[in-house]
Amino acid sequence: MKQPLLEVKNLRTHFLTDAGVAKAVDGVDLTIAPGEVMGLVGESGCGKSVTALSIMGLIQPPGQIVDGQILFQGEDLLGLAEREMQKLRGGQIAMIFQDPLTTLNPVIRVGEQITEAIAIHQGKENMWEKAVQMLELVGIPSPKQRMMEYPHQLSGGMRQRVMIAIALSCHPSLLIADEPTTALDVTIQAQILDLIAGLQQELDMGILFITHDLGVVAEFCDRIAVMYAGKVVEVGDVKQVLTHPLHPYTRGLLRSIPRLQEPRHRIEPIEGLVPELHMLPPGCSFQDRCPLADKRCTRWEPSLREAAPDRLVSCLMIP
Amino acid sequence: MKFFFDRMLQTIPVVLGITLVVFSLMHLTPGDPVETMLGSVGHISQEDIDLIRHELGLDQPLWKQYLGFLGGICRGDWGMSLRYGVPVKELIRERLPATLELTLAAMLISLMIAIPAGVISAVHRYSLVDQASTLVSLIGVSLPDFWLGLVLILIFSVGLGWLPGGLRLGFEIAWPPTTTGLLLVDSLLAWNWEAFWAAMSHLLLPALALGAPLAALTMRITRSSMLDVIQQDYITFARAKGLREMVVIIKHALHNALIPTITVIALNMGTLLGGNMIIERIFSWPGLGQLVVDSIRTYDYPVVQGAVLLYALTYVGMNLAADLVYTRLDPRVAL
Amino acid sequence: MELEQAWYHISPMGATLRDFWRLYRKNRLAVWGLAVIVIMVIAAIFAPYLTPYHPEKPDFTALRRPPAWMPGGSLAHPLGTDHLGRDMFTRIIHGGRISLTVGLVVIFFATSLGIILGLISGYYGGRIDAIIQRIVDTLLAFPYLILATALVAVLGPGLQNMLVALAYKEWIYPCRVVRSEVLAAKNKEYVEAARAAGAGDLHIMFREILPNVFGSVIVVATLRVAWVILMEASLSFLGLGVEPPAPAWGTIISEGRRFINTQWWISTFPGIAILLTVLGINLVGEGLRDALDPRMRE
Repeated sequence: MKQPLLEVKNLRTHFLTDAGVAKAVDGVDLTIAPGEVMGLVGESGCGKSVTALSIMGLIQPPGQIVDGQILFQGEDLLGLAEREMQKLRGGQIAMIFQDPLTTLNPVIRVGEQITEAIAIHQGKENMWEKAVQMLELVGIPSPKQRMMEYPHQLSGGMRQRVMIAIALSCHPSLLIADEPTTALDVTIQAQILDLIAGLQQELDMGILFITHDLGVVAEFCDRIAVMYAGKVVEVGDVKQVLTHPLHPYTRGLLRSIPRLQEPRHRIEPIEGLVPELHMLPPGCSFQDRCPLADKRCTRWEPSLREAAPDRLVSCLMIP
Repeated sequence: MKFFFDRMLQTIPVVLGITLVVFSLMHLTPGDPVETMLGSVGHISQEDIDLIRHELGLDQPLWKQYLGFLGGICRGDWGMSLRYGVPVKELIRERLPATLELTLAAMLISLMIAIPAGVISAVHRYSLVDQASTLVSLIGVSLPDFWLGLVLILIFSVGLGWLPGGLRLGFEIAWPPTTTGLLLVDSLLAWNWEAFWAAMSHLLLPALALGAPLAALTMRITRSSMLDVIQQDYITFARAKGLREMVVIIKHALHNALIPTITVIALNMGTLLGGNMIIERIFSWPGLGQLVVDSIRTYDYPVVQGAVLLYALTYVGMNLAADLVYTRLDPRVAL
Repeated sequence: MELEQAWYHISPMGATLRDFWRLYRKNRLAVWGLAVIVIMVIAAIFAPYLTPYHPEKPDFTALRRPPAWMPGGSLAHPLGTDHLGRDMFTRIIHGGRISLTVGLVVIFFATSLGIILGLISGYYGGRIDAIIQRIVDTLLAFPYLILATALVAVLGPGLQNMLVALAYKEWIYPCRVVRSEVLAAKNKEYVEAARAAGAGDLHIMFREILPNVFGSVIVVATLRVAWVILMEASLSFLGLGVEPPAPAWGTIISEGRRFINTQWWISTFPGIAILLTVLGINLVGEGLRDALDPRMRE
C-alpha cells in the first residue's frame, strides 16, 4: 500500500471551558489516500469541524490538541513550527467553509483576497492573471470585473465559488471541505458539488468532505467515516457502509433519512440526545441511545477494529 | 456618496436646533440678562440699560431676535464681546489655534496608544497584558481629567522637573512667526528647532491629560470589537490561506474592527472638546476653553454663545467626518 | 433565547434576587466595586458622626498639616489638613454627600424623563418620534461639560442650578436606550397578546414593555451616575458648582491647586475619592449588565 496522503491517529482536541473540559474530538482516526474523497458525517456538534480545524492547525484557545498525530504525506503536522505550518496551509492543504456569506472578508476586494493567497505560496509574479484564471476555472462570468468587486456585490453561490477559487488557487493535494453546500439553495448546491467533483478529477486532490447529508456522500465520496461524540465509529467504502451499516449509530442515521424510492419507509429518528461533551459517560458514548447496549457498554470503551474486510467499526456488540 | 449626502441633510435640523439652544441660553437667565451682565459694574442708569438692550436687539420680539441671530451667524457676524469690545469672531480666531493644537495632539496621542493596546488585549485575551490594560482603561474612564492633569504636573513638573507645567511656550523662548497658529507647525516652518522642542514639551502633559479619557474609551471599544471580529469565519479563512498572524490581525481583523470603533470615537468627541475647558485652565493654556470660563465669570454672554456654538458645530462636523471615514472603511455602506 | 424572553416577562427583573446575585457575583471586580460604593454611601450618610471636626470651620491652630504617615503628621488628622486647618478626611467624606446626592438626584429625574420620552418615541414612532430624536441629536452635539457650564453661567451657580444644568442633557441617554428597546419589544408576542386582549397604549407601554426594558435602564442609569459625578466635580472645580466653603470634591481640588508645590495632599486625596467612587459605580454598572441583561454581555 502506498503512503496515505493524510493519516490522523488518535487525535484529541479538548476545550477547557468554565463548565469543564469539553472533549470535542476524543480519539479520531482517519486515513485518506491521495486523490481519494473521504466523507466525514455525523450530527452537528459531533466534532467534525473541530477535526478539520485541528488538521489545519487552526484550533484557537481555549481549544487545545492534547494528544495524537496528524501525518500529512508522512510528516507529523503537530510537530511543525507555526512558520512551516503556514507554508502548508493554503498551499498543500486548503480548506473551504460552510457559509460563503461570512467567510469572505467584507471590506476587502475579491481580487485582493485571492491574490494574497497566491502571493504567499507562489510569489507575486503573475498573481493577478492566475487569480483571474482561477475565477474562470470555478465558473465565474466576467472574472476580471469581479476581481474589483467586494463580496457583498456577489450572490451566495458566487461567493462560494470565489471561496473555492481561493482554496484551490495553489493546487493543494488535500482539500478539507466543511459542509461547503449546506448554506446554499438546492440548485446551487448541485452546481457547487459538480464543480468540486470536476476540480477534484482535474487536480487529483484528496478531499475530506464534511457533511451531514448522506445523499451527498453517496453521490460524491469514495469512502465514509461516521463520527459520534468526538469519535469515529465506523469507516468503510461508501456503498458498503450505506447499504450494510454495522454500527448501531450508522444504522440509526440511515433510518432517519427519508427515501424517495421506498414510499412505505418510515423515518425513525434516533432516540435521545447527543450527550454533553464535557460530561460523557464512562464506556461507550452511544450507550444511552443504543438499542443493542448492555452492561458491558457502560464499562468498556470500544475502539475501532476491523469487523469486515476494509471496514472498521467501534462497537463491542459487533462480532 | 449618497449615504454621505443623506447624512448631510440629516444634520440640517440638528444645526438649526443647535442655534436655537445657543440662542435660548441668553434668555434662560432668571432676571434681565442686561442687568445680570452689568450687575458687577455698580449703579447704572435705566437709559444706559435700555441703550444696551437696544444694541443687543433685546427690545424686539423673540422670533425676530432669533432670526437676527441666525442671520448674523450666517453672515459671519457673531456679535461683540461686552468685556473686550471686539467682535466675538476675532476673539475666537485668536484663541482657536491653541485649542486646535492641544485637541489634535490629545487625539493623536490617545489613538496611538489606545488602538494598539486594544488590539493586543484582544489578541492575547485574558493574558497579563490584557488584564493590565483593561484595568488601566477602567481607571482611565473613571478618572477626573482635571485631577489627572494636576497629578501629572505634580509628578513630572513639580517632582521630577522634566516637563513644564503650563503655558504653550516658556517666556525665555522667542515665538516663531505665526503662519498657522499651531506652534509645532510654525516652529517647523521657521526651522526653529529650539521652539519646536519647547512647544512639544509644553504640549505633552496637557495633551496626555486631555486624551486620557478618550484613550481609555477607545481602548475598550477596540478590544471588544476586535474580540468580536476575531471570531468571524473570514478570520479563520484568512488563517487557512496560510497568511501570517500579523497580516491576519492587521489587514483582515483590524480593518473590520475599526468600523464600529470610529463611530464610537466620533460620538465621544464631546469629552475631548469639553475637557478642553478644564485642561486649559490647569495648564494656563491660552485657548478657547479658557476664554469660555473667563467669559462666564464676567457674564460676557455673546462670547459664551459664540464659543458654545463653535464647539457644537465642531462636534457635528467631526461626526460628519467620521461618517466619511466610515464609508471609506466599509464598502457596504458606500452604495 | 425565546424561552428566556418569556421568562423575562413572568418575572420583571429577569431574575429573582438569588439568581441575580449568583450572576452578579461572577464578576469579581463588580463585587469589589459594590464594596467600595457601600463604604462610600455609609461614610456619606454618617459623615457628621465619623469625625470630631466640622467640614467648613477653619482651625488656625492646625494649618496645612501633612498626612499621618509623613513627618509632622499625626493621627488626629489622618489625611492632613488644608490651608484653613480643616481636616481633609472630614471634608472628603462630607464631599461624598454632595457628589452622591447630585449623582442620584440628577439621574433620578433624568431617567424618569428619559423613560417617558423614550417610551413615547419608540412606541408611537412617526412625527413625535422624529421631533424627540432631533432634540436628542441636537443635545448630543453639545459637549456635555460645555453645555452644563453655559447653563450654570446663565442660571447662576448653586446646587439647584447645577442639578438643572446636568439633567438638561442627561435625559437623552436613558431616552435613547429605552427607545431602541421599545422598538425591539414592540412586535414581540406578549405585546401583541396584550393588545389583542384589549389593553390600552398606556397599559402596554408601562405595564408590558417597561418591565421588560427595565434591566437595561438600570444598567444605563448606574453607569450614568458615575459620569454625572465626574461632571459635578468638574463644575465644582471650575467654581460653578456648590459654592465654597461647601466641601465638594472638585472645589477642594481647585483650592488645593495653589498649594500643589508644597501641600500636594490637598488636591490629591479628593481626586482619589472621585476615582474610587466613579470606578466603583462603573464596576457595579458592568456587574449589573452581566446580571440583568444577558444580551448586552460581551
